[in-house]
Amino acid sequence: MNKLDTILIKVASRCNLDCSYCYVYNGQDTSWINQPKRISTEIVNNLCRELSIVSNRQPEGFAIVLHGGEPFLLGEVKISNLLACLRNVLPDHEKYPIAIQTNATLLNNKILDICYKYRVSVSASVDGIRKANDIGRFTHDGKSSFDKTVDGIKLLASHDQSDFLFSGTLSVIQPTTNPIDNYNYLKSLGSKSIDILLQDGNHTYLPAGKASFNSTEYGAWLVELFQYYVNDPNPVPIRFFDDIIKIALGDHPEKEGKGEQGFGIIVIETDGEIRKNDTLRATFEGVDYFEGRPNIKSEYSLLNVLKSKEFAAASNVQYPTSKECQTCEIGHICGGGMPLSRWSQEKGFDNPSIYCKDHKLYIGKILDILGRYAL
Amino acid sequence: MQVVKKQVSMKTPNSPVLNSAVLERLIKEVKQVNSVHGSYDRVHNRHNR
Repeated sequence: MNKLDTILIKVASRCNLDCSYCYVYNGQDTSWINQPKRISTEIVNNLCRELSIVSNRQPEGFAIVLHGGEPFLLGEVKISNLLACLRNVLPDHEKYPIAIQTNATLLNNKILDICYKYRVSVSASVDGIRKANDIGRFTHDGKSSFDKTVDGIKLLASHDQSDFLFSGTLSVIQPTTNPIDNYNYLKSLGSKSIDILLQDGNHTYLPAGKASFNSTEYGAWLVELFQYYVNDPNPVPIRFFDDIIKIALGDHPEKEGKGEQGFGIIVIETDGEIRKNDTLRATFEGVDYFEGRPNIKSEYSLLNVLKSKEFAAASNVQYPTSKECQTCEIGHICGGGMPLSRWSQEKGFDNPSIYCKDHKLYIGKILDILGRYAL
Repeated sequence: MQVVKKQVSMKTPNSPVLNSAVLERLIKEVKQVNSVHGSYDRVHNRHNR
């Protein structure tokens, strides 16, 4: 059996926001339209049975991430029932951490109490200061989501169990904004850990704010932030940089998209379908389907997927194949970036990342600074 | 073809004293992982997604 690192459960296949860069709803994939809006009790029960089977076969733990759409659209009662079911089969919250990625607009103290009861951490999506957040994160009627998001984050930060509950914030890079203003604002909100994402895009569909393969708008933004971060006397961890530094120091990254190692990621849709890493959906529809379209409703379906060559291959998609990557002196650090950003209609994933020049720019700066300290 | 992987340089007598809280923390984490676990535990992978 191949190792499962993370199982990502789509508990709601709709979102109450309409972010311009969203790979789920504003990308190339439209399969969400035919998905049930919410995960059903039947699928939850089947999923828990399958997770119990896998946990009995795999000695190592794995992470469970509740995702969507917006997971809290499921509502308090169904979220509570889902978490109770998961913790019933996976009671060790350190071996099986459960995390929720949310836009924070639907948070209230009752939901946070439920999360704490089942030892579930909450990470909030916000792109920084109002100016940055308002570039891409809209409601369905085109209005700003900033105030509701910040209200939710403040509630999360002020909860009496926030030390456990509030795992951090996740921001998509808006390269026209000031990264230091965004970082300091997220610190002021009490974020415990700041993670950042390059906007999804590839050679066929260029990400917003990137003029060409050779341009470095994102790389310049990252250099500016890193120089501030590395000199901050009271830093909040930025995982994006921490992973790069750890790899340079001989360790491994926490997250896919960097370094030389595979990641065993499974996605469960609201109808129970078992799929590959959903970020690949930014390329073409159907890229994340397993052969035969397995569904969690069948006994041993998850175990059989984990045993498959197809899952092994999907776990190893992080390893870049292009000649440029294989002969690159920092290829072992960037790992070719996120696979979705290597894709083109002409050559599939056999390209360097659309962010190749950006990776070279900020990783070069990081290595310079590490070298200055002779690390 | 042999690929030359870029590495950070070795410590020299003239290296400046480390004065970065970020780097101090990460060096400590990496040392701890290497000495205690042998390899990084990826259970906490992708908390912030």
